[in-house]
Amino acid sequence: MTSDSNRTAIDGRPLLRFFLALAEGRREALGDIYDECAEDLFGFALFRTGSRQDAADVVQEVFVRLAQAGAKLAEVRNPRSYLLAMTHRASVDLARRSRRLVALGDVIAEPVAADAESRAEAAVVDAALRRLPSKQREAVYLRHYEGLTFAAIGQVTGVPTFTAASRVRLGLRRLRRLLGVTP
Amino acid sequence: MNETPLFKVRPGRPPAELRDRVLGAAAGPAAPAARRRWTGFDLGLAASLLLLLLCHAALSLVPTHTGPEPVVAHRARPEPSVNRQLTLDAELVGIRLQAAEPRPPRRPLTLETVLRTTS
Repeated sequence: MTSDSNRTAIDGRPLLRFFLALAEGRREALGDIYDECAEDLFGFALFRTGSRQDAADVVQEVFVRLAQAGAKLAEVRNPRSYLLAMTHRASVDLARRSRRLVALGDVIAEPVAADAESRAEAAVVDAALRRLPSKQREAVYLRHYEGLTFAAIGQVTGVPTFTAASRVRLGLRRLRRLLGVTP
Repeated sequence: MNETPLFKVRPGRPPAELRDRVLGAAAGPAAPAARRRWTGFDLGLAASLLLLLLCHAALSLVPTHTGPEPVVAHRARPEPSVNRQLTLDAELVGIRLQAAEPRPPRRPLTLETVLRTTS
């Protein structure tokens, strides 16, 4: 889960400043953007692709495209959504190019706490998450870990709001059923 | 809606070395691109090309005929010269001469013949 400082950075002004700097040609802003939100983008890509290698490739592709975006970055009003949408598109593009099966050893979700019980619970949740369709898993991530509205989820993933809401609802319902959790 | 299980986990974190790799790739064309993996299409294409190469090599080892090399007789072409023109003229004259030969006599055309052929 992202820390409060990271969430502020993503929601607030620092990202906007970095985007403007990058639009003006100051390439060092890429490092600042990475430090602020790479963890979120990687987590999102990991939920979408189910593979750490693919998630790393996706993040790299996002930053390559960001570096090539140039002056039009100055027009971006919501850098957070912009980056999440880029991550979504890069994940979809990667899935189209590569039909590689998901590596069985990859972990999508890690335990928050370090104790043995938390690790065991996390393994169960991770296994359940991997059984969700990638589109539902992606929607659940955006809703739960990024706190986006259904409309925002729809904008990031390129689907209508109703579809985004359905994916979240169905994903959570399936997750609860897999984990034996009663609503 | 009970979302408790999701609060116990967080998404996996990127490896530390990813930063240098990503920023290096974003730095410019000289930086290494993202990993290019072999897809099923790539493997199929490579296998097809290899098979084609092997078939070509195998076919080149198979003899196509026995015995000495066949002699291909080429028709002697006349030198393009005045003689060629004279030859052509003679052929044309020959055709004319053939055309000038008298035709065999026709059967006399009688009323009976006409009635027989038109009935």
